[in-house]
Amino acid sequence: MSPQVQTHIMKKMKVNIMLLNTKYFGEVQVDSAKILKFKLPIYGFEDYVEFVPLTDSDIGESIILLQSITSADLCFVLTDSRVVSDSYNPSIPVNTLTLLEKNNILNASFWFVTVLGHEFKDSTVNMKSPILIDFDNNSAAQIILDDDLPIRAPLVIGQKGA
Amino acid sequence: MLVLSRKPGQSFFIGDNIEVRIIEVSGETVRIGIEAPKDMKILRDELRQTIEQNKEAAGSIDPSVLGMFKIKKDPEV
Repeated sequence: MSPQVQTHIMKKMKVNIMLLNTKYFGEVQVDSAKILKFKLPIYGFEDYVEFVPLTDSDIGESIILLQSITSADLCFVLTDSRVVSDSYNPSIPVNTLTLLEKNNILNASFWFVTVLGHEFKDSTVNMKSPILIDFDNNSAAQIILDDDLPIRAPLVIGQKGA
Repeated sequence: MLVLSRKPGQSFFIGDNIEVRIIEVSGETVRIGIEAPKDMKILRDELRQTIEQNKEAAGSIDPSVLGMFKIKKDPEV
């Protein structure tokens, strides 16, 4: 694992560095301006609201390690929906849309919670319940779609149009 | 699996204190009302499965597995 760990975006200029214990990278420096707040919590993890998105330069920006601020042991692997399927553009239920707007999650990208298998081919992503991240407002949400989508789809990366 | 036919407004019981009533049938959607004790957890299947998948995702795995992504990484992405 490369020691070079960067937070996902660099555009905010206000720098307020904090040291954070992480599950995969040990102790890293994190810009507190990049902390994401989950306005609609991750299902089953309602007590954990603040996370920081970490990326690894060797892996690339399509994989985020979503590290909890309050628990070093808690880290999700998120896969960018665009590298799994560039046609993924689900309709969001009206009630959910209202909640997202109310919480300022407007210009969001879709990310899939990823279960890593022991081998790459055994890894799966949840396309039914994506994580929405609005990097402009540092806000995020997990939602459940009405569309008939798999909760455990095989992870296929770098194959456009999958 | 037990299969019952019910009409809107009709209900059935599970045990002594869980009542399930068909409220409305409209196209492919059935609205169902459930009367159950407050401490009884009622979850849509997809929510239950999402919680399960999240827990598994949080539990996975040792850092070395992340190395898999380096091999699979598409240089164009």
